[in-house]
Amino acid sequence: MKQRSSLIKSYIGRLVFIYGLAVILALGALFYFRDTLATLQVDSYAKPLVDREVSYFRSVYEKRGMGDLIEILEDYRDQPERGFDYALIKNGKLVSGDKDIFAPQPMIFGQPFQFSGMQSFKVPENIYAPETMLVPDFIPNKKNSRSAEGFLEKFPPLRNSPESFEPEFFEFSEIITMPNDMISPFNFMGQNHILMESIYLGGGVMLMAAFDTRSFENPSVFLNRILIGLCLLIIAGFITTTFIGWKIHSRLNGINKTASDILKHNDLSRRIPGGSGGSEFDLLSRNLNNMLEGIEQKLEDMRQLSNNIAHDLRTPLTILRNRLETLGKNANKIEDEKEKTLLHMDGILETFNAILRISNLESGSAQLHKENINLPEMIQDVIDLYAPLATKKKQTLGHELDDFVIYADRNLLFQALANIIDNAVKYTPESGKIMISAEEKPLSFELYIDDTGSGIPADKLDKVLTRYERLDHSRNTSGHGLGLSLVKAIMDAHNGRLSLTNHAGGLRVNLSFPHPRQA
Amino acid sequence: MQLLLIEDEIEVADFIRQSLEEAGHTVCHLDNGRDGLTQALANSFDVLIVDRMLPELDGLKVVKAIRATGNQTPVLFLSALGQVDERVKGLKAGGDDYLTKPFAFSELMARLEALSRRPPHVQSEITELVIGSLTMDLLSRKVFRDNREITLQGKEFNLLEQLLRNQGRVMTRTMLLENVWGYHFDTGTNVIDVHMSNLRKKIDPPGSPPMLHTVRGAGYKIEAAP
Repeated sequence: MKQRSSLIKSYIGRLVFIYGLAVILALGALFYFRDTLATLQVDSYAKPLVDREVSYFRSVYEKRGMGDLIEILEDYRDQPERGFDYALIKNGKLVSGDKDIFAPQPMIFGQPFQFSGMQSFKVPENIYAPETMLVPDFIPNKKNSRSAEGFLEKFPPLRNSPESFEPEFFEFSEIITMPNDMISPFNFMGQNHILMESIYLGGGVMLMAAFDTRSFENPSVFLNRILIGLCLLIIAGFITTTFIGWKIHSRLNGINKTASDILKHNDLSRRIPGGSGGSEFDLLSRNLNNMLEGIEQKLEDMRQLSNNIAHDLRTPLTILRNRLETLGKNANKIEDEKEKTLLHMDGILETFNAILRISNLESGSAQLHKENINLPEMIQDVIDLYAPLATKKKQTLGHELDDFVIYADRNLLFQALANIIDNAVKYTPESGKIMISAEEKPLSFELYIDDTGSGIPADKLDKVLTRYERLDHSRNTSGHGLGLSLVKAIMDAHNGRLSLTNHAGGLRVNLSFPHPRQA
Repeated sequence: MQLLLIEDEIEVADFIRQSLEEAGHTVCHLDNGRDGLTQALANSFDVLIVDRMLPELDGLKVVKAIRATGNQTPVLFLSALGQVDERVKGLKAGGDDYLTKPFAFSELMARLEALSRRPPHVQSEITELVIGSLTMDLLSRKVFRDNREITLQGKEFNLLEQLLRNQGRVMTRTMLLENVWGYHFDTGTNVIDVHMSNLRKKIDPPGSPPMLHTVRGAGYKIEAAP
């Protein structure tokens, strides 16, 4: 599947990649700075201790003499754990110690690491000038090893005559990092640092001492372990991130796949898988699915609407066309026919208007202009409007309402009431009775319009409120069948409710308004 | 009548202009709000017909601007927006009447005439409306024909009053409903027809020359019997 292989191309894939790069950079930086850190540590931890040793040697020489110093130095050298070597030079000649000052053994995890070819400083055999004493030629081929020439250039010998030997010693102390081939590639575990000290003790005696600082570098070993730990942590983090990334990727993929499937197959019934849990992704899936549901419902409504428009307008339009076609065939009746055609046309426009108004109200885009309305007054207006029609059918049309003020859009509410009364007058047989009554409930205000018509068969009560549904027996009655749908839309827009029941041998239309106290 | 039509839909505009000119009126047509506003302020018209949706300058803004200058020329809004709140917006902006497309030309004509001859705030002083042998006393709410009193229901009285105030001119059914009931709503046309037929029975008794006339495809008008 193409989608799966595109992890590398995906946004999350790229994030993981960037994270990986950052990890590599971070590790590199850690190792790069580790050496600096170690040197710093030698400087700050080892140097004071070495200084103490050195001043101890100096005091031994000064107070107890050469012999005691040699004894102590030998004793020090013979304790391997001290990591100490020396060369004691008097007037340019080695008095005690080694010509080769050894490089102390490297240590791995605090243990001495044995290997052949121990590197060392070579103290030149005939030392006349102290400057030549430090010729670190232990790794001649290494770039970073110092060449004798370079050192001599820096500190040219003052004189070379053994007779008039009055050497000018200069003391120095230096941390030397020994690149160690032997422990590579584990180089990072035990880098060698040697603290070289050159001390002039006076009287032509010079002590060169090499201290293995690794005993002081324990923090450095500790640091190494932290580094290893950090490495593992970072790598584990990387793996976790990749895993999480992959998981997120696959969840998003599910959503993407559904979306592209919907587009590709033009099928809104598809839903995003998952969504039963409580995670953000489940929530997202659920919300998107709900949204799809809503869109599907809206589209279905729209499809239904266009079907209904087609259905409701096709017949009248066809008739209109026929009328126009035959218009004028009978010259005597032309005015008559024209009027009929216009009336017919008005009917079509009326239907069209009703559809528009309902859609408008249902979509919620209509702005209501609510005001306080005295309901009995408005109902009297409706009754006044329909009284002549009712009288013509010998119907009784009246109300038994007490004063009640309602907060509503006056034109829309009048429209709703007119539609209901219009229906009632239409469907109530001659000599029937249409009565409007009301009931105030704690939370609502109920308005009842009862008629003595035939009511509506119980199984069709729900259907009447569906748009365009007109009971078959009423097909021959004029009207566009949208009356009650419009009432329902108006009631919904007022947070009210329209319901129909068969009541006392007729139809009861119940308009339920939220009580003004609640509004 | 001198009419200014601001309408961007060419077909509608042509139809309106042609029909109005056939009826003997002078029509100045502009197809955008900016030019329309300029023209409305530059010349004097009897009625302005303004479309709600216009390029350059929206119809509401045009009318607001005209009203802001103190110009009280009656304005009839035309709108394809069948929305319930559009009408209110139009009237609030300073429009005097509002007509939703599609409309019957007779409806437009009747409303234009009503607007053009609307007497400026003198109606309240009239206490008696007379046409031929028909007299309406607005104070005692009594109606006489040939000195014989006619008993009218409340709304019948109001309907007749509307017709008398606009005597000789066509009142459409919608205009009657709006003016008498004071609501803007859609209803089957036959509702008003029953009222009119009742009214006709009362004011045009058999034998006397009829005054209340049905105008085909348009509405009703009252005229003095010849």
